Amino acid sequence: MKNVLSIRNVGLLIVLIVLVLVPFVSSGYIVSLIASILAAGTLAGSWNLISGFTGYVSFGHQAFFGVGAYATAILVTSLNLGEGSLFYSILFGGIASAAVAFAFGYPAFILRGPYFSILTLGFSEFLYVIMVNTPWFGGAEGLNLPPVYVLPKYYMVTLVLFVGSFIFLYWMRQSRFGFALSTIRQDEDAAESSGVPTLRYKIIAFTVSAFFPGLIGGAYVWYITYIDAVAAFDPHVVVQMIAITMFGGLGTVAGPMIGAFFFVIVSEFLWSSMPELYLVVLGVTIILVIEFFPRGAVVHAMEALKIKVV
Amino acid sequence: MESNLLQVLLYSIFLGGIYCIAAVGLNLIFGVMKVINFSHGVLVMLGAYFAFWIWKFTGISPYFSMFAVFIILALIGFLIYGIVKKFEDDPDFELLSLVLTFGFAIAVTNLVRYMWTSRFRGVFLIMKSFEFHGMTISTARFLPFACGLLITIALLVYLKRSYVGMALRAVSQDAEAAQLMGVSKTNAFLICLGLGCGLAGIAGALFSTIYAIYPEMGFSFTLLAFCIVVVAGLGNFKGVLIASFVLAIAEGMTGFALGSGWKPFATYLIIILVLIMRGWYWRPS
Repeated sequence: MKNVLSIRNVGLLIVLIVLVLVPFVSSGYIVSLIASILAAGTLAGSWNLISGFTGYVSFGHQAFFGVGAYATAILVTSLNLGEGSLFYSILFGGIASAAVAFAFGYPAFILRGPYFSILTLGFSEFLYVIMVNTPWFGGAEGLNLPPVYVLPKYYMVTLVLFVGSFIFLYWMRQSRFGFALSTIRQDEDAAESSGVPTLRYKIIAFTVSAFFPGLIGGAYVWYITYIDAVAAFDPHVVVQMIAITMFGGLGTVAGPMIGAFFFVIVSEFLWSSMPELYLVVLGVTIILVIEFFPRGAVVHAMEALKIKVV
Repeated sequence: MESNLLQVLLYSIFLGGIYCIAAVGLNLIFGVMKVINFSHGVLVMLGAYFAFWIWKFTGISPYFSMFAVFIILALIGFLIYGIVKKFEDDPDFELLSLVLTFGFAIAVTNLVRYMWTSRFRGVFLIMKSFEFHGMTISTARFLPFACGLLITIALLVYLKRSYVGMALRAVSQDAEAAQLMGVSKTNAFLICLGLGCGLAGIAGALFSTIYAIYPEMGFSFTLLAFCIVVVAGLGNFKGVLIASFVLAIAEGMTGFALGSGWKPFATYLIIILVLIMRGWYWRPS
């Protein structure tokens, strides 16, 4: 216990205090910018759980963001709920998303490698086609929520989710569960024959990695007060998760969380200075980062600064 | 009503010929290199745009310019090899190549959108149509189908009979053993990426003569081509021939029955069902 007051822990505490104080002292723009950093970090961390730690690349993770957003929106609009239901409805979105992932995971995880990746992408597009064509889900017009100003609450939800997913991933890394996931990544057959219940662990990991995006989706829909299928199942959501994780470091806890910070700032800058070329630069960045820092730019930087990589 | 149905069926079959070339290229790359070329549909889109611009500025019909398009796209295939080459022996090659080609696809799609805008474009060729048992068959739709079928069959024969085809099959079965027998893995990879990407370009050039082209079409083409490969089975080229027609018909029929918004529904339903069923049967007992 002598390391409780180490530089790293004190640093983390200071960062946390600053993050908690931000909405009380700064402008709406800064608050929403940091909220999107926190949301992006949570999304990337969840993607990293299934794709970085377990080695199953999901190209359809935007589906869980979308399912969470839609579940929250449907609950709120069909029951005519007000702002007071914010937290419950967001939680409902997360649970709906985790339930979909749980149900989808069982048939999906019999597949491996690229087959799994394509199945997840197909699944997401499948949901998109259903949502956009079914009037009950609002069709192509989407669903509208009560227009309330929830930025401070949105910020708090994303902060809680960011910290929660960070703690979860940090705990998981050192646990038996995380160890089992890394054996699945290295050699699934060997893991299975050594008695690791691989299918069960994969499904648990997948469900958790869908739970956080579902919550973020639910919070997001309250924030922008509107959702349609194009925004909910936008493949760029998963592109962002992949880009941040690759930039931060695949299979590390801190990498994507720190990566999100740089990534969102840089894309905010690109977005405002050259909106048309934003995604071009993003695609090229993904390629360059993998070419030069295959283990993640943040990880390389941390190693150069002699900080222990977690 | 009935003749409408037959007409839709016929045009779906014609479209299947184009799907076939696109999917054969993907199957070749996946079978030999074990690389998921996620940018395959984007290459189809590029091929369509190149054919369109050649037609726009010189008036050369895509049926002739497709050979030039083939060469340009083959060069882009070599570029993709340059991108993924570094990780050839990496244990995470599959994952990294997937993400690398994904990044490439995003960059190219948006570059095209930036340079040439999102407007729907298309090549307009004036051709006669003829009557056949009460159905109107336009030559413009029949020709791509015929070209697609011919090229696919020619490729199948080539891969079956020639030394190159044998070398590619050898690398796909066991790359190390093939290298020991004097087959260059690099050359095999270059040939199959060149051929595969070039064929994607031809598919795009043919596609541009019938349908509207736009930058985002690449994404659905990738899914579609992968769907066909999965239904057909890896390295199974005859299966590709059948699966592309099955999928094209399923898509056309869904669009006919439920409205064109539901068209992709059939593709995604088939991809999900086939993958899950495959997983079920491959399950180690």
